[in-house]
Amino acid sequence: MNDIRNDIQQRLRDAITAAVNGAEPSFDVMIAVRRRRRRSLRRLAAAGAAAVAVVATTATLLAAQHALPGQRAPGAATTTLFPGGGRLLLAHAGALRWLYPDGRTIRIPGKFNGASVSAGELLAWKYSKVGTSYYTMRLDGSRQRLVLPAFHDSKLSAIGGQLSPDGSKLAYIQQKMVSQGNATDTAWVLNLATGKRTDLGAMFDSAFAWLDDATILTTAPDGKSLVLISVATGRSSRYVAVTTPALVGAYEHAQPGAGPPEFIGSDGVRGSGASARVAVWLAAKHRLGAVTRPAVVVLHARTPVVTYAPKTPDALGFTWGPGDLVLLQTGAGDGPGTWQAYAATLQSGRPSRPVPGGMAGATFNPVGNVMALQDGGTLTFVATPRPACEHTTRCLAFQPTALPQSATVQAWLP
Amino acid sequence: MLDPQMPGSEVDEAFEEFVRGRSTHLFRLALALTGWDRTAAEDVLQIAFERAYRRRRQLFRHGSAEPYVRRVVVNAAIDWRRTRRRRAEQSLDAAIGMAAADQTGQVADRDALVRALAALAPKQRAVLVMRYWDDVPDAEIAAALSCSAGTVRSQASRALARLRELSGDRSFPRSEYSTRGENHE
Repeated sequence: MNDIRNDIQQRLRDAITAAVNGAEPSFDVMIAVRRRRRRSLRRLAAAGAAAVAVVATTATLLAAQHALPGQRAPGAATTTLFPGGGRLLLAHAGALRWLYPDGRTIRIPGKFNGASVSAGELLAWKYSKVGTSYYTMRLDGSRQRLVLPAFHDSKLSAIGGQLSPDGSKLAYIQQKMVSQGNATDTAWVLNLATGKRTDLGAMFDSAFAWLDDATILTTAPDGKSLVLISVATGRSSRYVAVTTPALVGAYEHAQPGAGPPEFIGSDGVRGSGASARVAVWLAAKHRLGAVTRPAVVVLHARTPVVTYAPKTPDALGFTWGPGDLVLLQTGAGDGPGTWQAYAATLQSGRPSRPVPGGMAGATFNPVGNVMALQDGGTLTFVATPRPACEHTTRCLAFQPTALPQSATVQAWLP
Repeated sequence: MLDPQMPGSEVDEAFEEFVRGRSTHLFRLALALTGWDRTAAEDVLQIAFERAYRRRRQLFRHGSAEPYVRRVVVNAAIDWRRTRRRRAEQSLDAAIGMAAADQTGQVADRDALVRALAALAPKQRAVLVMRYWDDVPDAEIAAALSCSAGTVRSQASRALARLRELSGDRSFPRSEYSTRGENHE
């Protein structure tokens, strides 16, 4: 497989190199930049007068968005930036901030590119020239602690960091660029109290989840089964496989005619111990070898509880929501118009009507009656459709509304 | 790395040196990202350098301006493709012209790959070009595209699969890394 993979990478590289070989800009770039800069300055000057009127109408909103931590901007009391309540953790331009519906903002000190919430604290990461580094901190950004420094090696990077449920350990994937874009992945666990790092071995893909504080669930290196890995010993044991009869039956029932599943992956865990629900992603193989007709089977004690298989030409994403809610995202490649989001529950494999969007992710508000769909830097809020919303405190009805600023949602907390 | 206290004239000199040294490479990157549209690539390059020029003092204070300029090139090219794209076949014509100039024995293979690459969705093409031609680490690609490294990997996987379909090449593996859909950190 490696030979084939390297061959493709080399052929791609050769093809692009040949296609761009000898190409040069047909102008003096520096002169063009200066000329263009002068033109844009002129446009700015001409637009200045018109902008004054706009500033007057947007000043209230902007003031609300940039208010000091915990403060409300004058005149912003009635402004609601987004429905669904709670607070959004947003990332934009190398900074993290909490945004409240009334416009209050609490900025996380320092520069960070993203974060997740686990065990009541933030795990934040930042990209830099020397690699990716991870920090833990309180939700308000205080007590920042560098837990995984950058590797200072252009061939090495840490990706996919996740805190254990109790927050005592950090699991991450160490990606090593071997040559010409060819990378190897290894799973590692870092004990935050002792600083000890444990090598958990090669990974098939970057998806893994904490089953409990001592065990990680991931795909076996052969891509045909899910394995449980003890973070204390590094030993692994098979959890389920593409040949597990219960999984095969659930998949073939949800995707009739697709044949048995050929690919498997972990889509995360909800709960722990005896009550844990495990989401397993399955797909068949297209006649040309590609992944096709994916489905997600939720297991309880290794027994299928529910299977989701919305009509999708390519990708199927799965996100756990509050209570019994889940979010499904389907689409084809990065065609923005092809992506749709569905709300569903653990009681039924039949999802709600689809809503457009969500190519770059989707999340529920803390109650579950509002969904935030991410497309590029745009965040759109839609009411969770029936019947899924009936599993929340109440169903809402409002027109889809976009956050009036570019940002990527990291978490939505009460 | 340059001295943050350097006079403005030295910043300008450093910027010009950067433009002279890297404009050809970044132009070729823009060319690949725009589906071999020369006019668009030149426009994208100008946009990127103009923005970098405005921020030159901050950029050179932090060492290299290249990650920032690459990011602007990539996003300007994606924006350009999205606003212009009506059908994938549009980009094939330009790609055919470029590939036709290649008279080596591997012309057919390269022609098919270049055409297929030009027909990919903009973000997928950006991932493949940066990863396999420009040797950019996943974390930097993620920063350029404002997504997670996991998403970069799944995009690369899907892009390779799509490339195989478009080029009619059955020797491609089913997936390089993940076989999954989106994976968000």
